[in-house]
Amino acid sequence: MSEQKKSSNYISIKESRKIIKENLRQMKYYESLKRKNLDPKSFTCAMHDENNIIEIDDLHTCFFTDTGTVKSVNGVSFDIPKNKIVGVVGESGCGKSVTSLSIMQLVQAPQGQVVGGEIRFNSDELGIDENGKKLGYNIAKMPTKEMYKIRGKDITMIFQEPMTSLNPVFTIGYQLDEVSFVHTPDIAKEDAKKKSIEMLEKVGIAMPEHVYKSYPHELSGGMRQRVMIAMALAGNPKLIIADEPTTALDVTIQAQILELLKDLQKSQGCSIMLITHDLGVIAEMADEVVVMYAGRVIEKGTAHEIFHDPKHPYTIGLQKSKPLLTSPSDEPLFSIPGQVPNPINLPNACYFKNRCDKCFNKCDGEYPPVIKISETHYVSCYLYGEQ
Amino acid sequence: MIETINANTAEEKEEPAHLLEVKNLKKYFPIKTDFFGRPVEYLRAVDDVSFTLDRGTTIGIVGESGCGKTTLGRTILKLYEPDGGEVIYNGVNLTGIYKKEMRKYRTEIQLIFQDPYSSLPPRMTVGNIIAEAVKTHKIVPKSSLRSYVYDIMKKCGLQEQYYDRYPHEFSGGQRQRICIARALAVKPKLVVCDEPVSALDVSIQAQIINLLKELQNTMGLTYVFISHDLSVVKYITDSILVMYLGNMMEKGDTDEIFDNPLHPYTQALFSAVPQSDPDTKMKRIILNGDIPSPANPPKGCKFHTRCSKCMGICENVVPRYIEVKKNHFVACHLYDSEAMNNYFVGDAENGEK
Amino acid sequence: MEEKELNNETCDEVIENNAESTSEEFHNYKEMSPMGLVMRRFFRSKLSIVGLVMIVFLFLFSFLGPVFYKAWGESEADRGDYTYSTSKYSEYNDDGTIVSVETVIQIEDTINVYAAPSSKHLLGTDDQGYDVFVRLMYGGRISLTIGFIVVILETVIGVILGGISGYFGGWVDQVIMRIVDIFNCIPTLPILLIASAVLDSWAVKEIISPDQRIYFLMAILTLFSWSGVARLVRGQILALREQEYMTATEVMGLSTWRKIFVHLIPNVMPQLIVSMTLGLGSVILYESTLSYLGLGVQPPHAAWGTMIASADKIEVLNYHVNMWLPAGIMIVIAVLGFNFVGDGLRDAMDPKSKK
Repeated sequence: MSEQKKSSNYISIKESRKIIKENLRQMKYYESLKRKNLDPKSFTCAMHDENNIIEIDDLHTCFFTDTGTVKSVNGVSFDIPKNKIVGVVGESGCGKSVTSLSIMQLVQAPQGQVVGGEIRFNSDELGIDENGKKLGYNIAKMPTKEMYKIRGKDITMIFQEPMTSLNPVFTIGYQLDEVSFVHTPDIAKEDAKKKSIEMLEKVGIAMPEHVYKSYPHELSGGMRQRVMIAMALAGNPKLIIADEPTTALDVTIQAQILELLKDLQKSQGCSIMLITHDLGVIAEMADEVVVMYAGRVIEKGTAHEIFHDPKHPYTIGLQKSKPLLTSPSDEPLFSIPGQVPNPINLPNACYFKNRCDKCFNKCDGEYPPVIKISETHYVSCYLYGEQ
Repeated sequence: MIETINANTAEEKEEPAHLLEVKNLKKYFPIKTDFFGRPVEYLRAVDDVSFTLDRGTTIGIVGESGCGKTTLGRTILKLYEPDGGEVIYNGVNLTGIYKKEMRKYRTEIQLIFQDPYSSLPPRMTVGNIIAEAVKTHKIVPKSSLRSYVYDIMKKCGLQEQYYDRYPHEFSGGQRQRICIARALAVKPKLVVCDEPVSALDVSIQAQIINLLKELQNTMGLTYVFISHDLSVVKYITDSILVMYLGNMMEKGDTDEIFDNPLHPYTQALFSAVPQSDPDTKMKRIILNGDIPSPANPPKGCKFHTRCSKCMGICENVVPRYIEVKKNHFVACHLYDSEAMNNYFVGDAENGEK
Repeated sequence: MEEKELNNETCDEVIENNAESTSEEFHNYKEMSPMGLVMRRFFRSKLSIVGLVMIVFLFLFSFLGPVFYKAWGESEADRGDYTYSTSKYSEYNDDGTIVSVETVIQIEDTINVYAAPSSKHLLGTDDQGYDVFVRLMYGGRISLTIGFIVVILETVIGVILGGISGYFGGWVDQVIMRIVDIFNCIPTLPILLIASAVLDSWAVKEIISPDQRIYFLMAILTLFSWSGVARLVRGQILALREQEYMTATEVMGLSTWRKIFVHLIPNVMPQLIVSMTLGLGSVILYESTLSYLGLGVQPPHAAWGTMIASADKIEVLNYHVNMWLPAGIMIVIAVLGFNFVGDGLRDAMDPKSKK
């Protein structure tokens, strides 16, 4: 009995060989796509709405691992409008970071590949197509060489770990100047320095000249995160992707950084994609919220809708399971039972159904379609719709 | 000799008033030594902290990184030798006793770690991890060991078939359950929880918090709960100790502190917690600047560099602990009229001279 | 109200069951021990399987070979009436032109020397009339035995000293690590040469028979190679000591003995096994080098190194390839095999380092 069970649980050597072979084939194929010299037309496309800076449409990003293909992002669609903060929230492994890395084309290659869907980036350089729609780049199909023009300039990223995202052997100034040199190659050294100090001032660093000369290890975590933000802002980006920017920081420092991000977003007129697992941060910052679970968007809407009228049982559970400063401490906390499912070979059914307390017979069917609750509010759940 | 007397009297006294009493605890780490290896400069990780803890209650140690809360927890466990003050557990002073003697109390005080990944030995099965200390301390007879471990696992929400599995097969939440099971298997009375949920996802956090609370009710455990997450602390604790750079800032019953925070740091800390409601944007106190390095703390009140209500006295005089209300202590000059008066009198006198 | 509760209960059950079924369906690695995982990853790499096959072949060949192939002994000359021919090159200057002459001499002998490979002698015989094929097996025995003994000895010494140094730290660590530094400064090969020369010349000759000499060289090899192991173990233990589960053992009140032998050493084992397999190859090389230089195994005992050394005669190099090439191939197989297995084990134990 136990022998039988074991054999069904293991991947045999033969099977794993097959997986590896198939993975290699797939990886080679997608890598070759990235290196091709494509006609610019093949990676431009019309934006659906010119007020969006990014439109993600049915994005699929896979990781080819030795145990099987992990669909980290499995059909994610959402838009990031201009001058808005969009919060992406979900638990670890839900694909929120992979979505952002896909936008940046920074998914760890060759194992990780964008295998389908479109990421339309609204670029001012391309003009208008014959139907009068604004043209944008399709990042999902862009070759790596072309991507360099966008990455770091129009779209920048702030990482979670301010400790490791700065190079410890160079001064802050050197690293900031470097960014200026990349964006404007013919800039004079003095101008670059002037600009760097200006940037440091902008992110609220009290003694910019002093910080300009210091090394990363001489600064505290909050200061380093400010420097990271300064670097991100140097190219006047249209979109800043902030991947858990405050998770490694203390509450009081977190409050400072969030405030700074908000101010900068207003003054610079850019959009922010804020990725976090902390609902409080999302509530504080975001205009629109996207809730992800196991590689899919399960609910999206404005912050008001998500926090005051959550529809998906997961969103509801997530909010209830976080103790509030105002919640009574004598009754047990609401908790979602069970674990996040393993992302390999997920069946075509609602991924949350095993943990859901509102699960009913209809949930055994295929993955629930997206249901429109209001103009801005969408949810993927069988509890709604058809009424 | 003195220690044995102490131990004897403890046994005779039976149940002392408090399970744990920490008196003026100090832990300094040397950061600079002279040529002969003698320390010259210290990092005052825990500086003069005192509190008492009753049976079956929970105290929350709150503060930002580098405030010494983890060091405090480990000094209570005698993983670090304190540099001053006393830890009195169940009437026994743990500070002076030898390592050998300490092993008797090891089972009674346990620790739950923050990181469920590095705190489990990777090459042992779950059953062995939980049973190891039980075997060493002969808590149950060998014959009933397995059923005892099953019992503990069930209490912590682990299924029996996990007994022969290895930690790497489990997710963070499950691993934290294994850690809790390991700690509880030796029948402790006091459990130091060092950020037990901060490495976990929100939905799993709630599971673990509920488990800890349930175990407290069924087994009569006493917790020292170290955390930076105020909403969790509010939910699980009976009293709170707010720390900043190794010093106590405020101490009192949880409800009292949350309803009526007195220290400017506590106020700022509470207001910095993001609220899960996009519409009620509360007015928040945003602290200026960074936390000073604990190796080189400011003079006077350690918080004065970031305090919005900082006065002249704060830069020079270390504030005393004042009992503002019953069981509500605060170390701030704002509430210490006596010290203020003295200071200004002194100032005036200095001026005359 | 009641109905709702009932519903909740059944739903809970469903959740439990579902959780189980999903975990069983999708967690392919469930119920595998860390060692099992390592073995799985190890066998996935083709190179490590090749290495393993090479090593298994060597073992069977050297240890079981002589048991089944008893036609000739290790130093049993093929006696009888034989003629063999040997040739000699000579050059002389004949009025400005260099003339090279090859003289072929036919010798009649009672010992079958320099025989070509045949069904009687699979790889021919050497200058003493010993069967090369059989000597290859016996040479393998010596090489592998020495390799294993030296590696095991150096590992034992290294683990003990490195473990003490890493676990206790302080001045103990300082003293042991400085000793390690000193040993690292001494160049191994010259020392071995000197030692062997000393054994050759001094009165030691009377005390120690040439047969036993190889054991002394083994001891010396061990003496000079434990320091690397000690350093490795110390580093590992220093890193492991910082792991939170070691704090947990302290909190649990486990004894020092248990902490070291149950929690620390098993976690060093993976690195140790890797260093041991890689070390085996280098010890075999050392042994062969020494034998080649005539300092290791003494004739009439067989060793791969001495067999290769026979190629120092130009005619052997030219016309009796069967005498030295097989031994060379054996050494290549042994060293490559152990290195493949070692590399495979390292990749299997630390999957992150692979990519």
